[in-house]
Amino acid sequence: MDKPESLAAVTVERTGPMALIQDSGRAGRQHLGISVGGSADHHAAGWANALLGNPGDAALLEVCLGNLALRFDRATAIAVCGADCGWQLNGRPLANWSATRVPAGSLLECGPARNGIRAYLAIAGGILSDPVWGSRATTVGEGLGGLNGVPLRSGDVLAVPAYDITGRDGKHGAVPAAQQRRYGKALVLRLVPSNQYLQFTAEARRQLFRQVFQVSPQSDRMGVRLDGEALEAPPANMTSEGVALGVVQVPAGGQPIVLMQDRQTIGGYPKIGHVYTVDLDWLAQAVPGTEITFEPGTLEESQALLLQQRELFMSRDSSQFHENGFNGK
Amino acid sequence: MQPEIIPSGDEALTVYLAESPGEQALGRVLQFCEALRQRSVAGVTDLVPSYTSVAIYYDLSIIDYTSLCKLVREVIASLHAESGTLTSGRELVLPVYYSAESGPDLERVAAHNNCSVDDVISLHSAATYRVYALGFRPGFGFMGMVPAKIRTPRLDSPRPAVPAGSVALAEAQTAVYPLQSPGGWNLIGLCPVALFDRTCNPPSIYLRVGDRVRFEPVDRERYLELGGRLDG
Repeated sequence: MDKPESLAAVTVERTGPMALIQDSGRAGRQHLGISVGGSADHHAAGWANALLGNPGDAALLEVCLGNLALRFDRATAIAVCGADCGWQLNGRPLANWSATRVPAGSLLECGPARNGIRAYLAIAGGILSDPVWGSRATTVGEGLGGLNGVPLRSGDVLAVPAYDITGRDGKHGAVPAAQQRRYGKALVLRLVPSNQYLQFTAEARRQLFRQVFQVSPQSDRMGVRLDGEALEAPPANMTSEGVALGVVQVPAGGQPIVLMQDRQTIGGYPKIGHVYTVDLDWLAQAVPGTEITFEPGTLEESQALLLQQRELFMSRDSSQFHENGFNGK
Repeated sequence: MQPEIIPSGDEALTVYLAESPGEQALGRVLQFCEALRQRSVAGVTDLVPSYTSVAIYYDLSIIDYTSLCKLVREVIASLHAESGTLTSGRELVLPVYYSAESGPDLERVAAHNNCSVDDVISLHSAATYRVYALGFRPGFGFMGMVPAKIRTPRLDSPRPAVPAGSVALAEAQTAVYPLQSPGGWNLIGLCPVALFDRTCNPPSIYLRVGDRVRFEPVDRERYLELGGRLDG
């Protein structure tokens, strides 16, 4: 960690149901039963970091359902992306999908999420909590990462690197309009058939691609549960095996579960396929009741889209980005 | 069986190496993991062995699916056909305080099997178990096989909070809950050893897939001496 004098403090004055420190996740320990975790919406989180020129794996806040107030002891820069929850800086509205300078002593606040579920707040340089296996991602079920493995609480103090804002006027832009998202519409999730696909009846497979499901209120960072007419699931006599991001499990009840970042590392339910990783960003922002349909896809397309998304952020060093971003609105 | 490779996620694939779980299947699974690890393939980020399969996680920016499949096939071809003896695996002994106080389902397991509580304890602690998979919670080891005479189905509805350290069984499997969590297995005792220890960073995880585990009955006093707790 940096020397104390090079740190700034951000104090949590008020927090909603679940504000979490997240980053790109804790990969590589699933063989010990450790979940990967990480930001649920990589599109929004990626843009928030990119707007500030932060590294792609810098830790930021995932503010679930909004309601947060932070006090900054020193001047810095921030970016807000994802769910729209009416951010205000010192009482003045702040545009979503944009970055801005924050004078010392500022109060940053947001209300409840009005569009989408998860807002991302990046701070210049990234949040500096103690990493666990190289990641600061909070996995609440395991009590790992973040500050003591739990969501933010009032009175918590976040450490961030001190940030020199002199000479950076106008250097903070917005996400290009085409990349800014409005959530709330029905989603089409592209699905690559996988492991136990052929063990499902032909009728169940047809039904999967024909039926309209709804996002269940019982959804969380472990998995998004879908309500709808039950799919006939094959007998669950299989032994548990590793389960990856986006895998769609169908338990005996016939209601599919799309596995998200905090999923268990192994599972024993039949898997009909996996959802394109880039489509999960939309799913992570879908409120209960959102209509979901599945469309057959291919691994080639799914992987190509994921690589494209990664390259978008990797190729954007800060200077190049600020030019694009600043004029993009 | 013919090994099978199936993409399972944008950056994951599953390799199926055996038909049904058991010592022989696990031997093959662990042999495969070891052989792949020795190749130190750039871009492979994690190997998760479990019963009959291995989940391979990879970084698409470093290695593509087709190249990885080719490597996996080479590794499979290099495995000894006669593999099936598990050479690896540490021998571990876990102390357990079996009692009505520490194992609220001990009576239920005995009643289900028409035997005494003492029979349950002696049978459960006489067997040696193999860790077939880790998961569900950090450090939760799925161990088998529980002697047929004390196998008991899961509870109809899971408990919302099973205390950390609970020793449990469900049908042919037994396990120790590493941290407090919901759970539907039959609780028969408490183990004082921390299977998932968050007091250090990185946390320590006690069990590994392939370990051989025996449970050793200890009394209340010894359980407490070993650092065990009875406050849930």
